[in-house]
Amino acid sequence: MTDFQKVLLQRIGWDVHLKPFLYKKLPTNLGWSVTLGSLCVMLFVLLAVTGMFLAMYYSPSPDKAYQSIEYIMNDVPMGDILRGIHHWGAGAMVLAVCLHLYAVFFNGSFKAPRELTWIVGVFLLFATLGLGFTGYLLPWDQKAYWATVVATAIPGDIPVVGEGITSLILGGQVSGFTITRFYAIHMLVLPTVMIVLIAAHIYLVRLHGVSDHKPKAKGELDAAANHATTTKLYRFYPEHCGRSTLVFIAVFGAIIYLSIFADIPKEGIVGTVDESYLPRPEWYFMWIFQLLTFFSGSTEVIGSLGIPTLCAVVLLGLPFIEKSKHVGMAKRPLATAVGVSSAVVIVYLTITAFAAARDYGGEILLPERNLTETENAGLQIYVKQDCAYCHQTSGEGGRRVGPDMARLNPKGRTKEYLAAYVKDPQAQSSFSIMPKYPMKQDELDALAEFMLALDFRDNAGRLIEKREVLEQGKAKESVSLVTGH
Amino acid sequence: MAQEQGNTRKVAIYRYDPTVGGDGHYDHYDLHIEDETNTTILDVLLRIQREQDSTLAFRYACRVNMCGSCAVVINGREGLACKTNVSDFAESKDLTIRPLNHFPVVKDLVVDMGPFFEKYEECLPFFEPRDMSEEPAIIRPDSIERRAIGFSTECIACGCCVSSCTMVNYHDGYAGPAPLNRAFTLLLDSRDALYEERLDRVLQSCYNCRTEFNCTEVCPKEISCTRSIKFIQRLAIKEPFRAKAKSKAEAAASAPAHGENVAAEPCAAHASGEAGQCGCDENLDTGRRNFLAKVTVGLGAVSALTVGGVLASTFVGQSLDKKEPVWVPAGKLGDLKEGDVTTVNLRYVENVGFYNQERVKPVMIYRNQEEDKVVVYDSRCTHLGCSVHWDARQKLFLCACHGGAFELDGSVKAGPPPRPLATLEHRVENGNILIAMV
Ligand code: SF4
Ligand code: SF4
Ligand code: FES
Ligand code: FES
Repeated sequence: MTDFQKVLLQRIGWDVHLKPFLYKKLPTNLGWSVTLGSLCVMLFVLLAVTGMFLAMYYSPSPDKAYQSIEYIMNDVPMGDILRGIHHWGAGAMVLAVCLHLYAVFFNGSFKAPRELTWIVGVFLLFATLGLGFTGYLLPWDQKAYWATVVATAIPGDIPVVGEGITSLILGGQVSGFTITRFYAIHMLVLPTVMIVLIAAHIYLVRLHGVSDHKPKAKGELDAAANHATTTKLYRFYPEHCGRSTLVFIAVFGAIIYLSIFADIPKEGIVGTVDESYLPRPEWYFMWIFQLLTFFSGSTEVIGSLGIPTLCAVVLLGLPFIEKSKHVGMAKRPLATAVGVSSAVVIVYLTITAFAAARDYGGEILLPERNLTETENAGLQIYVKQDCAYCHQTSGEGGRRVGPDMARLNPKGRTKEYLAAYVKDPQAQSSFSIMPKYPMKQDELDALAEFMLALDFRDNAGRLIEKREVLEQGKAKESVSLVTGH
Repeated sequence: MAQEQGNTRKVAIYRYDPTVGGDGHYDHYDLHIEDETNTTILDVLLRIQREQDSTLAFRYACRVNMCGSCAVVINGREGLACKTNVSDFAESKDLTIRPLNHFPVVKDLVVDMGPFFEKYEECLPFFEPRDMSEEPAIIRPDSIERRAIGFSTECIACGCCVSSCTMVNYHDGYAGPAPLNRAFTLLLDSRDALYEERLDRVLQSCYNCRTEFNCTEVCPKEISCTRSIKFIQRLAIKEPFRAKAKSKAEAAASAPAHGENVAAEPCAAHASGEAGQCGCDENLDTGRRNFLAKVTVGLGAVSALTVGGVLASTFVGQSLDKKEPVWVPAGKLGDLKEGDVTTVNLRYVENVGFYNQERVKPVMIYRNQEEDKVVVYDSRCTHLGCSVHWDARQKLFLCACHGGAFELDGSVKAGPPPRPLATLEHRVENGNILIAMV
C-alpha cells in the first residue's frame, strides 16, 4: 500500500468505521429472505435514479403532463425503457417491501429489542405506498384521475374535518394544483422521508444486529465461541452483498424484460368522457378497492376507513401486541395462522378484484345442441338486455347479483313463471331486487324458452362471444327484411 | 414328569457383536418353560444366558418395572422385559426379541441411550424453583394443575415410546415423545421458573408429531405422550396472551423504579469518574449552562414555529376556499326526453388559480313535464366520487367503481354509497336550462 493510500484510508476513517461496517459478521444460519431488505434499498436507488432522468422531460401541468409522457414514450431515445424501468420497478418495490414485511413477521424478527426497527419499517411501507399513489397521478391519464378521486374521497368519510382533508390533499379539487402538489410530494417530500427512514432503519438493524432465527441459549453460545473457527463465515460484505446482488439482478432482469416487451397500459387523458370506463387503481391497491364493495350504506366507512386504519394500527403496534419471546413460525402457531390468513385474504381479494374488472357478459354459455328458432330469438333478447351482466350461467360471466341461469331447470321453473317473473319480478317475489322488464309477450316467451334451454346437467356447453351473437342477430334481421318476413 | 408340564418355546434373539460389525443376525433357542404365567421375558433371557449362551448381552436392574433398563422389542412391540410375561403370547407362538428401534446398538439387546438422553436434556428436564422458600411448595393432588399433569410424571425413561415412534426416524431434530412428555410435566408446574425457555425448546420439535398414538400404546407406565404433546401445542396457541399478560404485570411491577435519577446526572462521564474526557467543562457554572440550553431550545422552537407556520399556510393555500358556481348552459329544456333521464356532457372552463381548464362533465337530467319537475343529478357517486351513468334499460343510475346503484329519485338502491345522489341547482332562462357547476 502506498503512503497515499494509507493516508487516504486514515482520513476517511476506514479502520475505525467503514471496515467494521463492511465486514460485519452476520448470523450464519440466515436464509435468503434477509436479502429482501437489501433488495428494497437497491430498487429504491433504481427508482430514484430513473425518476431524476424522467423529471428532465416531464412537465407537471394539466395541459402538458400527458403530452410530456407521450414525448418520453415516443420521441426520447430509449425513453420508453426509462419509463418502463420506473413503472415496473415501482411495482417490484411495493412487492419487495411487502415480502420483506411478511418475512420479518413470520420470522418474528420484530420482537424486542427491534420494536423501533419494525415501526420505522412500517413507515417505510407507508412512504412506499405513498410514492406509488402520488406517482401514478403524474401521467395525468384516466387511471390517474379516477384513482386519485376515489382514494382522496376516502378521508371524506371522517365526520366534520373529512372534506377539508380531501381538499388539502388535492389542493382544492383535482386541478393543476393537484399535479404540482403530488409532483412535489413524489419528487421531494417522500424521497427525503424515505432516505431519512432508510438511514434510521439500517442504523437500527446494525445497532441490534440482524435477528438470529435460531437463537442459542447462553451455555450453547459459549460452546459455539470455542468452535468459532469451524462455523462458516457470513459477513455483510462480500457474502451478504453478493447474495443480495444476485437477487437484485434477477428482479432487475424481469423489470428490463417488462420494460422492453410489455406495454405500460395506456389510457385516455384526464377529462375523456367514456361511460364504459372502469376506474381501477394500480394492482397493489386492488385488494383495498375490492374490499370497498363488501360494505354498503351506513357500514361503508368500515371498508373505506375502518379496516385500513385498523391494518395500519395493528402493523405499527405489532411488537406490543405479540410480546412472547419466541421467534420463527413453528413456535408461534397463532401468529403464523394470522399472517397466513391475511396473505390469503389479500391475494384472494386481489384476484377477485381483477376478475370483477372483466367485461361482464362478454361471453355467453350455450348448450352444445343447436338452438331452435324461438330459443335463438330469446338469446338475442338475452344478449341485448345484457342479462349476463347480473346473472352467471354455470358460473360463467356475470356479477352473481341474480341467481345462476343453469339452476332454473333443476328448480323446475316453468316457462310461464319465468316470463311473468321477468316482466314484473316483485309481483312474483316481493323481495326481488331485479328491475322490471316490461317487454312484449312474445319476447318474454322467447326469453323464457331460451332460459330453460340453459340446462347443463348432461353437457358442458360451449362459450360464444356476445359480439358474435349480435352479428348473427343483425344478419337475420337483414335477411328477413329482404325476404319480407 | 416335569417334561409333561409346560411348553417349549422357540426363541429368536437378535445378536450383534461390535467386534465383528455388520448387520447382526438372529440366534434361535429352544426353551422349556414350566409355568408361563410366572415367567417374564427377562427370566427367559436370564435362563438362556445361564443355560445356553453366556455371551448374550442385555440390560436390566430392578426387575420390578421401576428402572426402565430392560426395554426391548418383543414380537414387534416395545415393552419391558421384566413386565412382559411369556403367557402374554399364545402358546403356539415363537418369541422374537430384538433391541429398541432408532437407538444405536451396543451389543445384542443393549442399546446406546446416549442420544436419547441428549434430546431429553435439550428439553430442560430439570426443575428450577421460581421462588426460594423454607417450606415445601406443594401442589395439591386435587388441583386442576396436578390433574392435568396426570400420570405423566411416572415416566421411567425406558425409551419404548421413542422406539415405537416413526417420526423420530424421519426428523433428526425431533425430540421424541418421552422428552416432550417430561417437558410437559414441568411446563404445567406452577413452581417452575423455566417456562419460557423450555417452551421455546420444545415448540420447534412438537409439530413433528403426527398423532399416531404409537407411544401411548406401548408405554409400560400407561402414559399418553401423545396427550402431552398436544397439550404443548395448545400452550403454544395460548402463548401470545400469556406473554402479554406477563409483560403487563412486569411493567406494573417495575414502573416506580424508573425515572428517578435521569435529571440528576449532568454528564455520564462525570458520574463514572472520568471527568475531563467528556468534553464538558466542570468549571462552567450550572446556572449559565442551563440558561444557554434554554435559549438554544427556545430560539430553535421559535424558528421552527415560524417556518412551520409559513409552510402550513402555503400548504393550505386556496385549498379550502369556497368556490363560486359557474352557470353552464345545457341546451333547450324542450329537447330533453320527456319522463326520462337525459345525460348531457357539459363543457365549460373551470378557473382554479391561474389554471383555466377545459372541462367536460356529464350531468343527468330527469324531466317530467306533467309533474312540472326537472331534477339535475350530479354524476359524482356519493360513495367515493366515481362517475355514475344512467342505465336506461334497468332504470337505474349505476356506478362502475364498486357497484353502487341509485333509483330514479336518486335514492340508493344497492352497493356502498351512503347517501342519495346529489342534485345540482338549475334555472331556466328563455327555454334554456342552466346548471350551476361547482
Ligand atoms: S413415556 Fe413411557 S415408554 Fe416413554 S420412556 Fe417414559 S415410561 Fe418409557
Ligand atoms: S403420537 Fe407422536 S410422539 Fe407418539 S408415536 Fe406418534 S408421532 Fe411419535
Ligand atoms: S429391569 Fe427395571 S424396568 Fe425392567
Ligand atoms: S364510487 Fe361509486 S360505488 Fe364506489
